[in-house]
Amino acid sequence: SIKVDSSNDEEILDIDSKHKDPQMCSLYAVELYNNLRVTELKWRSSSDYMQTVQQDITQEMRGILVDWLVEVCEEYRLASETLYLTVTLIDRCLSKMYIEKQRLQLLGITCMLIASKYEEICAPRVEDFCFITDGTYTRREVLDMEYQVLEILSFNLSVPTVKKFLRRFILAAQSSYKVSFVEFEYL
Amino acid sequence: MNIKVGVYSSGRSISDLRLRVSIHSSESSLMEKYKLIAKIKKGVFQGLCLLSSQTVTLKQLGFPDNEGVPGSLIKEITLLQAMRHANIIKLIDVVNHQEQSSIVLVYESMETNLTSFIRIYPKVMKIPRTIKELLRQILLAVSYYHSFDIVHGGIKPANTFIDPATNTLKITDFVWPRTLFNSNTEDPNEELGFCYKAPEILVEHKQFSTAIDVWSVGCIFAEMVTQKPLFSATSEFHQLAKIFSIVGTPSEETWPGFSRIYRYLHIYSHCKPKDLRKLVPGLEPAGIDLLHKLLYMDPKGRITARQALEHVYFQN
Repeated sequence: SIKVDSSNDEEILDIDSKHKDPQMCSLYAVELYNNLRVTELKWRSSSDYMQTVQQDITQEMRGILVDWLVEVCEEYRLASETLYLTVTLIDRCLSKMYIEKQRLQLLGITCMLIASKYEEICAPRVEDFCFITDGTYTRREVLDMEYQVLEILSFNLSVPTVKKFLRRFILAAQSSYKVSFVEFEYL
Repeated sequence: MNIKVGVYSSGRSISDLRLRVSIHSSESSLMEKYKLIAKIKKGVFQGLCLLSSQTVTLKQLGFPDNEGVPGSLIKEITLLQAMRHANIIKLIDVVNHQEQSSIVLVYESMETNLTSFIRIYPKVMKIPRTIKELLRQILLAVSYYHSFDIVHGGIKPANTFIDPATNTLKITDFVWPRTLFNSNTEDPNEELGFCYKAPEILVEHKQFSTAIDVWSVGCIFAEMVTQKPLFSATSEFHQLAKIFSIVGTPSEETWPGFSRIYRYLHIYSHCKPKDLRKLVPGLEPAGIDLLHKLLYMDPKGRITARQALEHVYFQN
């Protein structure tokens, strides 16, 4: 166990004290991050699904898929949250269902479709996602896959992604700075 | 169509799954599990769960086939599943009918909403203790989901349900505010929800935060006491004028920066705040003080649901 020297308490800066704006959500920040950590553990994807679940696809294929989805995300100007959620959904599906390499890209765009519906104000349409795969998959295939993904995840999409934690870590890391780094705003 | 993908963990193939309609308990179909008792309104039914003998509310939501499950529906289901609270409606089951392009949501029974409750039990609502207890339950629910970074965005008496037997209150209809204003799916016959909207979301540059729910709670609080809406305007356009006429037109002192989010401020005549004791007669002084804090114009200065629960009004 880690012992914390209580005499240092006064030196610990309350990073929420600066923001009293309800739009910053700092009023509930501590509880919010506790809830996020609990939810993260509950819905985390398995770390060894490539060995235990998948037979046809490899780590490299997943890498290629994610790289390509980054480009799709830029092409359709989607928020970075959408991308992070997409990857989380893909990993959670791959932890639970076997997929052949011909259908990995279908899973990828379908997860991105669901993530966009969840995160974006104006999500791209199904045909946009078909178009980006050069017509490899039909609308029907995407909608069937959407049904399967929602079924496998039982509609539990409210999972914390890296971005949620990153924002807080950056706030904590920069607490002693007077001006925050603009670069981090665009992560 | 031949689907090759299978569910690894259980060895079942997806095509098997598709025949089963339910997500949570896949053993039987909708009609084998629930018996419909009565139609409440279009697409909403009262039913009986044959397994638990519990009365349930079934809500069937259809959608056009070409875009799949709508985002608003995905959000509501996701949110309700993430939350478990005595004062938030429990989603018991989700039945996804792919062939019919519809989803049936099975909730625990909700028969009497706050609007009807006030109409049916006006005497019960006159008891200050009832009001205090119902308000406490609303605030418990609100502070709970605010701690998940969730904003309801549309709390109103019509989606606040009460079990008359136990006076247990439950909040329903979670839709994220950003979808709230884009959707055209709202039932026009629904109660005029704008009466409960906070001023900062009635302006041009809307400011979404947890504070918008706190405002709605304030409106409901006043309505429970007087049994009529506090800010009852005839249209969303007039809503802001109505709010100003009671709480006072904002100035740089009372709401710094308001003129930046709303450039038409100058067309409103200057109103001084009215005395809430006269508008909400019969409410004890501590209640009036809490109401003032819930209906504080500037969202930055508005009390939070958590703080409101610690207000002196609830002590004794």
